[in-house]
Parts: sequence; structure tokens; C-alpha cells
Amino acid sequence: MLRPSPSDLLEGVADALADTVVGELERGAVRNQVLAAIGIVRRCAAATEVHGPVLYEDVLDITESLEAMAAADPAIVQDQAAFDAVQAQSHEVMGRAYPSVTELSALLLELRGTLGAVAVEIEHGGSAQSEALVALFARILEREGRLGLSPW
Amino acid sequence: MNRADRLTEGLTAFLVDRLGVDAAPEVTEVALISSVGNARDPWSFTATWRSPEGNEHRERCVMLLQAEAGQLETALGPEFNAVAALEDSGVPVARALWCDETGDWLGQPFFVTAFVPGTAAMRPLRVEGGVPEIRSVALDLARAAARLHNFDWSQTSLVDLGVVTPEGAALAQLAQWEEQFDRQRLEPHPSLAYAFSWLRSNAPIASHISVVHGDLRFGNLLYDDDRLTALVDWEMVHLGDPVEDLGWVYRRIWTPERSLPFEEFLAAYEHEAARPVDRETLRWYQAFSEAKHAMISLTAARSFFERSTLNLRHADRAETLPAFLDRFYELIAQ
Repeated sequence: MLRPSPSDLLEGVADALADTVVGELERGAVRNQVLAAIGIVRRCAAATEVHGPVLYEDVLDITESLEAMAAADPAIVQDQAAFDAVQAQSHEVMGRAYPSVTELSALLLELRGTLGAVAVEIEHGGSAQSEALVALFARILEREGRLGLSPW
Repeated sequence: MNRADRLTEGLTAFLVDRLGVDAAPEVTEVALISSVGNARDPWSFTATWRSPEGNEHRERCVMLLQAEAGQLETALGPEFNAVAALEDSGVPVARALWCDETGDWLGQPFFVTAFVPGTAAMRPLRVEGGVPEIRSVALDLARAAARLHNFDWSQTSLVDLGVVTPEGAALAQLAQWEEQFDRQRLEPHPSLAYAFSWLRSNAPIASHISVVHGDLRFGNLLYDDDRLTALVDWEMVHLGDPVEDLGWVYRRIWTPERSLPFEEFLAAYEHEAARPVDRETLRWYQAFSEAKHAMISLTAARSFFERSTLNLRHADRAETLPAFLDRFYELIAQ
């Protein structure tokens, strides 16, 4: 069963609520709740289509970038054993044919934790890797932006 | 008994306690004010009472009730005291009337100010080509900010907000929001961790210490036609570097840039304050503002995640982070 897709369904729910419910509600807290819910449903509709690919890209990019930055400046890694463990875990998961979204999410949390620690070391130590790091952040933020509909 | 009836009863009892039985206070016309604010629930009502001299008083009032947990949890007392202290300062504020921090009277803490006419509408900010009335209000805002930042707080109750030094002003704010980051985040957010680290390494020294509104912007002011009538929402008021407010006031999501370019706003501010704004310090506070708003969003998201609020406007607030952090990195690259 491919049609309607989860995205089609969610978008349809948002349209239906907007067209048939919102107009019936007076201004106030209840209407605000429904409007916010419609916004969230639309956001989920958009994110559903790209969530998996974005996670996959993010894991790959962060893994490779961490490796490259640590190779260029080993001083940015404070806990080498933890760093190596996360990298090994990443290679193992990404070596599979079809890693699940759940696996990618769990791995990404680990990788981002490692990246956070490395980022603070880069900033504190005035490492030359700051340029590569900020470029990586730009790519991460662009991908995260693809998961959202924020007008901000 | 509905909520308005319960508030009427509670407010009447509160006013009897404050004004005395002989004042015979009455509360009428209690109504919820439509608002998109999060930290306070605003209500309007009319209070009538008799003075000891026998004169009848009638006051249209606004009451701000402490809301449930949300994007920020701030005490009402400092906010009320700030509004009261600024009454004759030339800064447009609503007249402070009464405050209850105990929550004993209405079930939640609240304070009351006199009603001020005006709207907080944001839609005109987005009109292509600008709106003359908004331009005028934005200039009023620049002048009001200058008067606020020139206000001598040292002989008022505002010292209770916590005195900081010029060297420590930026770092104190940073520490507060970084502590929130450690406490509220639901995931590591490495780009925000780096942002806080960068801000700490590059913190400016304040030219002087002033009252800082903390959330100074369109949306937190009332205007009537082309005049600013009151600055509201003082829940983040503190003592600090005045440039902090200037780094916040023109953020992209509430900027009046289409009606008044930021440089013109700054010129009006500098003229009124009789003091230049250091542009490097301003850029630091603009970057800080993005990290601060990111933290407000993460706090809101966590509140919903933990179900300490069921306000759906908070549920997906983490979605705003990429835009704020994008802007942060744009600013520090300049």
C-alpha cells in the first residue's frame, strides 16, 4: 500500500482541519491549540518524506568530518577511546545495506555528542579546524532546515 | 462558576484586603485578552472603589496572571517592581497598581496595571515598502530604549535585580543561558555548544550598566496609530549592558526594518541617549540573541516534551533552531 502515503494523509488531515474546524472556533486558547496542531501536522507531512535520507547524510558527513578534523589536529579529541568507539559504531551501522531510521537516530545522537565535545575543544584551543567545523555546522543546519517549515 | 466569575470573586477579595472594607471595591467586566504571549495570561477588568476621603475611583485595568510552565519561568515580582520604578522615568509603561506573588488569591501569582490603549499587532511589520505609522512607532521605540538605558536605577528598587559590573554583564547573561542549555536540551546540539563557547571567548565589556528590558521588540509594545503607548512584557528585565536590547530589537522575526532601517533606528537611539553604540559589541549581542532565542525555544520544547505544558505552540519549537543558528554563524563570520 503506497497511496495515499503518510505524507499525503498528514497533509490531508491538516487541510481538512483548517477548512472544516478552524472556522467554527472563536478566537482564543482552543483555536490557538488547533492552529498549532495543524502546523505540526504539516511539518510532519513535509519531514516524513526526507527524514531518513537527512539522517543518513548527517551520519555520513559528521563521521567523515570528525575523522578528517581529528587527523589534522589530534589535540581536539580529549577522550580518544570514546571517539574511536563512536566512529567504529558509525562504520558498522553505515556498512549495513539498509540501516533503519531508529539506528541512524541513535547513532546520530552519539555522533553529535562527540561533535559537541570536539567543537568546544576546537574553539578553546584556537584550532585551525574551526573553519572546517563551521562549514560542517552550515551543512548540518541546512539539512535540519529541510526537516522543517519554519518561516523564521 | 466559570473562570471569569472565579477571578471576579478572587480579585474582589484581594482588593478588599488591599484597600479595606470601607473602600467597597467592586470588580466588573473581567475578560480574557486575546494574546499570543506565553509566560502570562492577560485579563482586563474594571475596578471601582471609594477613597478614604469618599471619592469614587474607576480604573480600567489589565491583570497578568502567571501562566503554566512554558518557554520561560520568571517571577512576577521583579517585573512588577520594574514597571513601578519606571513610572515617572519618561519610559512609556503602564501604571503599576497591585501585585500578589503568593498565588493565594487567584491560585496563581498576578499583578495589575492600568489599562493602556493600543495594539501589539505585528502584521504591519511585514508590509512591503513599509508603513509610515510603524516607522514612527519604531522611532518612538528607539527613543524609549535610550531613555530606559539612561535611567538612573541606582537609587531605586531596581538594584534588587542584581548588580553586575561592566566586565561581567555579558558573561552573566551568557552563564544564565548556558546553564539553561545544559539543563533543557534534549540532544547535544553541537552547533549551539560551539556558539556558547565562542560567545564566552569574545564577550564584550559594557560601556555602562543600565536597566535592560530583555525582550525589547515589536510584539512587546503597544501602539496606538503612530505612537508607542507602552513597553510591556518585562519578565526578562535585568541590569546589564544596554546594547543587549539593541541586539534583540531588530531580529529577523520581528524586525520593523521595512519601515525603518536599523541604522536609522540606531541613529535615533544614539541621538536620544547622547552616547554612541559600539558596533562590535552590537554584533556580539546580535549573535548572543540568536543563541538566547534558541534556548528559549529549547526550553519551550522541553516543557511540552515533559508535559509540564500542553500548549501546542511549544511542542515543535526546536524546529526554529536551524534558522537562529544559521543567523548566528552569519553574524560571527562578519
